[in-house]
Amino acid sequence: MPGWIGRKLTVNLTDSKAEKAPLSQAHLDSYLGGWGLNAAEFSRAGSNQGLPPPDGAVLSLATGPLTGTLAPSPPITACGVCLPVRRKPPEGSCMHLNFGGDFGPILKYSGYDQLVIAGKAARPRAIFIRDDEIDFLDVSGLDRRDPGEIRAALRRDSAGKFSTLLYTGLIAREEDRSELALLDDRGRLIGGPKLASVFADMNLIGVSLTGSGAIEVYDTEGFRKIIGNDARVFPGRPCPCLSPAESTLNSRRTGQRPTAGQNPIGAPESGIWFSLFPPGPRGFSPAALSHEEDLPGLEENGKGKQGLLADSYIFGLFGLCPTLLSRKSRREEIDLLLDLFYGATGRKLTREGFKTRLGEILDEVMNDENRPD
Amino acid sequence: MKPRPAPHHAILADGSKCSGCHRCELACSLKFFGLFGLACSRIRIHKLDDGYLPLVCLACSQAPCLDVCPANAREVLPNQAVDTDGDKCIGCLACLYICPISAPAISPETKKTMTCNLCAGEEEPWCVRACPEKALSYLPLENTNRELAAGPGEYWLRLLSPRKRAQISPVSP
Repeated sequence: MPGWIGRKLTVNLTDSKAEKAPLSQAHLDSYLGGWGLNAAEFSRAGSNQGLPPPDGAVLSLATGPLTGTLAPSPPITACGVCLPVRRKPPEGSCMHLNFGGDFGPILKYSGYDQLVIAGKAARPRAIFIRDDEIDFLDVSGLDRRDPGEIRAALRRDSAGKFSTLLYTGLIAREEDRSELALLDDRGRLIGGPKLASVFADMNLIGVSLTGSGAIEVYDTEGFRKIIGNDARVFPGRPCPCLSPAESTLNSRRTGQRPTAGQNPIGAPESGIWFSLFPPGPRGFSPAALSHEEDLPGLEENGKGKQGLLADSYIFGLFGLCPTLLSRKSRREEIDLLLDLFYGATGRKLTREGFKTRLGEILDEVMNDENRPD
Repeated sequence: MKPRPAPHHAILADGSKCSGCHRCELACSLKFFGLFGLACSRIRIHKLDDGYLPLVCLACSQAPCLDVCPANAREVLPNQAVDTDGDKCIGCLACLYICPISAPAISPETKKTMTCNLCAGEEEPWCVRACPEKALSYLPLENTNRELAAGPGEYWLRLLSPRKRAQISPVSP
């Protein structure tokens, strides 16, 4: 299945069981990826068979067809992982967000397009996914507040080169304040206290992922041609999510960690700079995609506010970060996106078809979302 | 050890610039396997405590892997890069163990070693082209630095602190 692995992993923490289920081509075609798959998982109208018990938190991370490929922009391993969360209170609310880094790509390399975590562990647990092998580790002995200790412990038990982590810990918010956050292998902030509290509800400390597989694309030569020769794709700019910030470089030189002032919400343990993706989809209208040429240039990179929000969706659906595309217009950007989509999956999607499908998926996401600010 | 001519070019990595994006690895896996996967790459990004370190075969002038191979499978290519002849290789991984920087990778298909051949025939290796941080450089060695030309692997290894050396795992999972 080009562009896809075709499998979903569902982990239940209550009884420490993992279930691998196939994802059909029709399902993937219909939901495109990322947020679409998550919408299908959570949507009341969608195919929600296997939905975990409604009285607990559920976490779903889904990748897109371009996740883990050399598709444009962020240093290529950027992922389109979404984190819809359903928890109480309020009942049935759902939160969606994107994050970069290497969790998404390595999820695909480990053999899954989507990871769903549900249930509640009796004791603090960490999940270790090494390709087909799933382990649950009791981490009661760890100091749950210390992200450095947690990261070291998870890394020690999964020291492979093809590994990455997602874990919780307390980070310095201000000089005299700290809060629970979700961090990745680099110490980048993935989510704030609301998302981290979902992990806490599940008694889940972290997920360690090792993937030694690979992703096949439909038209290797075409894909290679686009990413190798197309000036739209290789702007030669580093990804802001992964590039070390000046404060990090300074800390490497001096050996001192960045202070809270230099790195306002940074993970003090690693000193690695991070950036959060633009604010979520509230207020976005798919109609923005029909006014490609009229996007106001509010941002330095020439993108308007609506464009930024649209980017957030595209990122979440396809698994690529559009912030670094050297495009001239939204029209050109979407053409490139659809070219890449075809190269990866072999599925032809017209501009109009894409907009229609995107609108339908977003409607589903919006209907299910009650994002607390 | 068998003396041999110095390589014309080598890929040199600047660990302080590497952001660990793995783009070089994906470019390499696409070039040689037509797939995207970290395990298919001949260049490796090592995670260190304080950053990332790209590692790739530097084609040492006195390459220990050439001598240690019991099957004489390690061969010098026309561009002076060193690679494994898959037909001769018996998969003992001796070249991987003896390499001071564990440069040979294990092919996920054959379980035999494979090494960077500098994308022989290409103007510039794919990994160098793919690096957005310019952490990788493809440098001619003959005139730029005599010490480098004599043995880039040894020279480069001396730049590594003992602590960083200890963090480089000898065997891939």
